[in-house]
Amino acid sequence: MNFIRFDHVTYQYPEAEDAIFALRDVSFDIQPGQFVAIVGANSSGKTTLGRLCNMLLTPTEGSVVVAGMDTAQADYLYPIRSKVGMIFQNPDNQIVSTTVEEEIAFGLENLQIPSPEIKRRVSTIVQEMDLESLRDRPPHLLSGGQKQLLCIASVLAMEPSCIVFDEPTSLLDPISRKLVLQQIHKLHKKGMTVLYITHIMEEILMADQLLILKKGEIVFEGNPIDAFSFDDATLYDYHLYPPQLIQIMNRLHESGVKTPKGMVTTKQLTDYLCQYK
Amino acid sequence: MPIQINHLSFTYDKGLVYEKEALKDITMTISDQGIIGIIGHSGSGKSTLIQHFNGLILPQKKNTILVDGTDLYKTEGSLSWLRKKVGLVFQYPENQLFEETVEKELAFGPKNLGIPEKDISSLIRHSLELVGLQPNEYLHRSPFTLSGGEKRKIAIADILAMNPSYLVLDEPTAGLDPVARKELLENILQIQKQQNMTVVIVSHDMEEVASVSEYVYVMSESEIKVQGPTLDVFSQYNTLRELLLDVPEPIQILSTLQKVDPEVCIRHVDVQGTTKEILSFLERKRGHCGV
Repeated sequence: MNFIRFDHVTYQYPEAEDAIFALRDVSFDIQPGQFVAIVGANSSGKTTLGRLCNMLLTPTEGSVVVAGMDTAQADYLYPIRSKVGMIFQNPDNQIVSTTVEEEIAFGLENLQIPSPEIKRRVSTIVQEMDLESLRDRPPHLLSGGQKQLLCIASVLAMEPSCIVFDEPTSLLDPISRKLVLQQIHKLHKKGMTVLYITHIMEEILMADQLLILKKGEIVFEGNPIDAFSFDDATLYDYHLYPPQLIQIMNRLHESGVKTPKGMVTTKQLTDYLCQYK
Repeated sequence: MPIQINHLSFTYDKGLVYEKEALKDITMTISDQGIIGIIGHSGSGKSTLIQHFNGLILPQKKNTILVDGTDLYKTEGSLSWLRKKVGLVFQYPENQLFEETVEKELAFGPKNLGIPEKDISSLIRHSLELVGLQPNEYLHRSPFTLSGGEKRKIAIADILAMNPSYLVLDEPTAGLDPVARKELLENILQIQKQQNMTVVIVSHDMEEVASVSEYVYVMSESEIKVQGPTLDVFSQYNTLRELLLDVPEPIQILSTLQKVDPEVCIRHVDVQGTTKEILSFLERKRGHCGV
């Protein structure tokens, strides 16, 4: 069964001028446990798409069904929110409490979960997310990466089966980025459904499935590696910019060095070059 | 005249439990022109350092920061001369936009600095042009209806409207899509040339810093660990790896090839130069096999 189904979804922000559609007639399915990356230019509709998944928004036309529940029905708000968690770009926008521990417990308290259960979940999660030593820290004294891990921890406490990440690493430095990506990867391995919105081309390669949005419409749905074999004009049109590695391989290709398809790391390229005859 | 920093140290919450030394003995000169890059991890002290440049954080000791010759330690009176001279664009500056129209938004800074009303309109137009936006098209729009890339540009124009001599940008391209990002970087290069100003870019994107800056400072654990002309810094592959920094992909590729063939030059950070270097590597390899 599909976990999330978008059926001819159109969305228009109520205050938008000139009938601009944030999303237009978008249909796709996400299977349980899938890792789907979503890319596209600024204001191509990625964030709107993410927000439709957990009822922060509901479609203007068409339907979004999450785990069998239609998001148009107000009664499903709590069950859907507890199934689909959301992580935003800037962790500061979603941290409200005065210590790490309290932050993780915040959502659970709102759901009126009994305190022994809250304590149990908080303890398990700080361990899983390597936040044990920071339990009593005020969140404003954490680094950007630690803050983002805290947000993920707070969402995990509510035991969702899917998390929508809206550019979770764009504020982070490379090390924190790797740390956060590792945790996301780990969650995915354990069966979490992941929707991953990003501008960072290298991150696309982690996903099983890629959606490219342009002006509110899906223009590509498929394997992430295939997206980089578009010609320059198409890439530019989709606001994608191949990583330097891909550009170098394209240039080599033009000069007659036929690198095999599907190489995505510098190591694969250098190994190939060292053996080239 | 430069921003001169001499043995600057800074500790947050001095004497408290969470006391944290954010800067240790920093000495650097931000000279009159060009683009300077500052790279390092979150928590390495970059933001603390740049907040010293315009007096958002004041130095804890005498003679540690001199902006165009004026010591910032216990400066008397208003700091508006300094805020005007050193324009600081924060991370995600579009979060600070608040006015109804782009015109009002851009006029806010100059008005606060007491620039005469009659000069403001031309300043605004000029700063919009600098960031590559047509004044007539944007002046009367609400900043909130613009795209992410446009908002970012408005926020930068906000600062340019105060006509600073130094422009400090904290992670200027974070969160922009790859095309908007490339455009903004080209803009920054142009602004620097046209205005003859000094631009400081703080970033953890190595590729970005490599592509625009002439001189680079690498910060780690509150100190400056490496500094020098951009290519000199980036070709120190091993040192950067020890500091756990990512190295631009061209240098990663070329330093691996250099292990096999010492003739490979790793001083390239662009696609064209790297491809050429790889092709000559393959050429030599083929020649070698032929013999």
